[in-house]
Amino acid sequence: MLHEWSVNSLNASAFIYLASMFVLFIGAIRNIQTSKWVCVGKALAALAFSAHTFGLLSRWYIGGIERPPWTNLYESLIFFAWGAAVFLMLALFKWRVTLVGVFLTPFIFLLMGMSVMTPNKLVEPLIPALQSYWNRIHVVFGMLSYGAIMSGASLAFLQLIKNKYSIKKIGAMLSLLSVMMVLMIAGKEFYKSGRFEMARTVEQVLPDGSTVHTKDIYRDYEGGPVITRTEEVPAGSIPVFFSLACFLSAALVYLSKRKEKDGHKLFGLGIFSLFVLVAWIFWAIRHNEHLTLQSNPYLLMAIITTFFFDLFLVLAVWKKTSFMDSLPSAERLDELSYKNLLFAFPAQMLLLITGAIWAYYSWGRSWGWDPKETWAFITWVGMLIYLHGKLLMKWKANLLSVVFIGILALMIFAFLGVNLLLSGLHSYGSA
Amino acid sequence: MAAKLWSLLDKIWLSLGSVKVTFVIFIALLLLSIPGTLFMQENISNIDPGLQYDFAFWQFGQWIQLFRAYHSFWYVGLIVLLAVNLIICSYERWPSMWKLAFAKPVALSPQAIERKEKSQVYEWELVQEPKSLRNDFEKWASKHWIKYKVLKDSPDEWQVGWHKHRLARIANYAVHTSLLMIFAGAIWSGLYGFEGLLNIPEGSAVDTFLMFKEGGSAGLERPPGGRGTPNERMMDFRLEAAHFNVEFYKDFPGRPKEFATRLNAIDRGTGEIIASQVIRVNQPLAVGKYTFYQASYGELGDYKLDFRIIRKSSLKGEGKGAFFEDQNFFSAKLGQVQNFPKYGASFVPVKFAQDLQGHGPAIQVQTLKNDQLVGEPYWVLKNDPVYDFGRDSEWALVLDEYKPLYFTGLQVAYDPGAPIYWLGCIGMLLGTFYALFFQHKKFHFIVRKGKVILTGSTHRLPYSFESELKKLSQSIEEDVLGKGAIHVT
Repeated sequence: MLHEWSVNSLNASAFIYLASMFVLFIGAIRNIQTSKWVCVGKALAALAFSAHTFGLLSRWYIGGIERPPWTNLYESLIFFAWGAAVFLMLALFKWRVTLVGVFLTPFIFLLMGMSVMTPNKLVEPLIPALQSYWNRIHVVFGMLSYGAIMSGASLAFLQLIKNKYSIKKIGAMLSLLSVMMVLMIAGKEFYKSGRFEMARTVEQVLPDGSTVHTKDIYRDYEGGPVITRTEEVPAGSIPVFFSLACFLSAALVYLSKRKEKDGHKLFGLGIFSLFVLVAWIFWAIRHNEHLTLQSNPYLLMAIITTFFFDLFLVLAVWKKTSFMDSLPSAERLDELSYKNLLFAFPAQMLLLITGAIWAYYSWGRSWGWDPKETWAFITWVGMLIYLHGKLLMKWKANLLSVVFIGILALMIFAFLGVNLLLSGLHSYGSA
Repeated sequence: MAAKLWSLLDKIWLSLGSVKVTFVIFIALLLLSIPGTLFMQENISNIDPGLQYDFAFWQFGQWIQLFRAYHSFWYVGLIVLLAVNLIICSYERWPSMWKLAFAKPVALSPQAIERKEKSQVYEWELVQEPKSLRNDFEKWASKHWIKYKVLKDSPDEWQVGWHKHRLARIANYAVHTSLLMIFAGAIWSGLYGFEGLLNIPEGSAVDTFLMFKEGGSAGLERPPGGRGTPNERMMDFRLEAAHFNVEFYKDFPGRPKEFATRLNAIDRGTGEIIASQVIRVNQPLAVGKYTFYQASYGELGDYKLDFRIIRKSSLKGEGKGAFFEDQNFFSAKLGQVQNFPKYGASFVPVKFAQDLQGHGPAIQVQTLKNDQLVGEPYWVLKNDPVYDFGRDSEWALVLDEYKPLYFTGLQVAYDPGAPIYWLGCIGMLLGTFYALFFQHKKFHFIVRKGKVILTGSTHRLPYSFESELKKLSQSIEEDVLGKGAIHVT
């Protein structure tokens, strides 16, 4: 009963975050000081945050004090989204930078939406390797660091817009970020054969011990053993290719000496192709009885989020003047994003160190260059560049903001890309 | 000539120590860390990269050491470059940093105060006696643990100054020294430590393990007579997995709750047990420089089978009280020949089935005669004990219990550099906190020409400093200047 309530409130919070994103955006465009939309948006965000917190705490209660709710992918999605949501609350109610909400909520929605689509939501007991104090501490630092990076990068983005940073460069950055997201979504099959598949390929162990690669169409977790059906599924390579081509060429146009209007057109086409991709996925699900939204839980979310993120930035650039007026000064935004980094940097360091201690007690090695830990280290090196640039070289705010957005890209890859892609890339070339 | 050489060395020294090079190294570090995550790395528990990639690519990868990316010449070279850059940078800056941190407070001239930003200067009209003001200031300072220095003491000016968190200016030295310590610890471990794995079937003992890295011998010897693979190394003792146990969660079949091994370290010469402990995940056993970690386990594909052999004609009694007078309990493994001359029985359990056509667990048994297989094999069902009584024979088999046999998967490590790099980690954390969250602050309190001035500055980023200065001014206003204080700015 409580488990149902917990899952439902978590699922609901994802969509309330989404609603608050829309409402905040409308409010921000109208008038951030007086619009009632802003108040409603803030209230919605607070409501989503409470539902989120309730879901997390009740899950903790179900699992017992010894089993905190951050021990598998489903839970870490929720927990890391919660970290970002804490910073969203700070931005909305303490720093009073309402627009951060518009940029931070897509990220929260990305993580929460992925969690909604994760098929297995059971509170499972811990395997021995995870029954460690260090597990609990380690993940908390990850949550804090990644939350601060997401919110800091949002502030950095706003700083760029406020500081009249060239639209061409913002466009180029966004296009590249979209390319990265689409590449990450496309998955290993896309790199191998150019085929973008709706269903994940999974390794299945047959009763005689041999393994086969099948399409994971439908997995029934609730009722005992896993049922897997192998079926030919539709592939949608064209919209993926198209959106990649659009965003890449948009980036090139923005970076070249051509007019930014040409870039805008290509960027718009890219957004359109993302829309087509989402529509195609829903169409495929409707017309293929073996496909469900859970066929590839992360794909749809990532596409939708990229779509929202790009769309909002287009609107932001388009409605530039009202945006500008609703933002605090560029100095203030720079200061806030720096403070987020000041928080994220030691947290990331503690993430790495506590992970090393845990590995040392479990396996006798503190550092093993595993892709996950290496990418966390790479993200940390990104932050080193920011810090030394700021403190030693006294870089200007715009450059620092660009670096911060780079750190965000590294972090997204460290958190999601490594799990979605790298295991796949290991088998690259084996076929 | 010598002078030229020196100037050249000087140039190299300076360019290696330049901050620009630091940024180049950072970016290179970021980029060069990536390939190792994309391509399979050599590791004894992995499949050989040679099998994963096509031959030409594999050859190229071998040449640029792609499959051992983090121990390759280019990555190690980069780390060395980073260390050199760090040392030179630190060395070159040290005198000026030291001077800035520990310089005595200097009296501020009126012009210097005028140049300051307005948010960093507080000014009041002097209303009380200068002498009583001084006394009040002294009291206020001792109350707030402020140790000030009198910088100017003339009839028309009294100026004092104090510093706070001077060390914040050189805290980065603690961070960077700690980083070098982490490097040193890692190098030490790499040179003199080892890592490896060993799988021991429960009930047996081994005296070698497989080392992860080929090459770095860490003073360990290969088994005598060239036994084993090139990675195999002798231990100073025999290690016995006396007992292994795995417990599963009730509601989640196949999900282990805990697994543990009773490990005995046995002296090779005397056969004495020198150490014995139950190890679990996160609970290792240390014997000398070896530390054994419980890492995994697996089924051996064999079972401990508890049988009963029963003479069918020996049934005594009736109804509930019926029993077989002549029966014998024994344990067997698959493939172990069992001889019972008393019953004229000779057989071998050959196969285990988890579920035989819906009848549950079953053992296939083959009869022997003069050590030769004879007749058709037959099944003994665990859930149906009387099933075997239908076979045409004087005796029948009953399977009472079966238990899969496991091997325990251990990792072994010796990490002599650990204390050094853990110390480095602690130093780095504390240093980072101090360097980032504390600022070197200078304050001046001046009484001059009927005015009282409080001013301050910080060595970097005045974000939270202004509010601190404001609080300080309020405190001074309350405790030192009294209620009659008149604010000028």
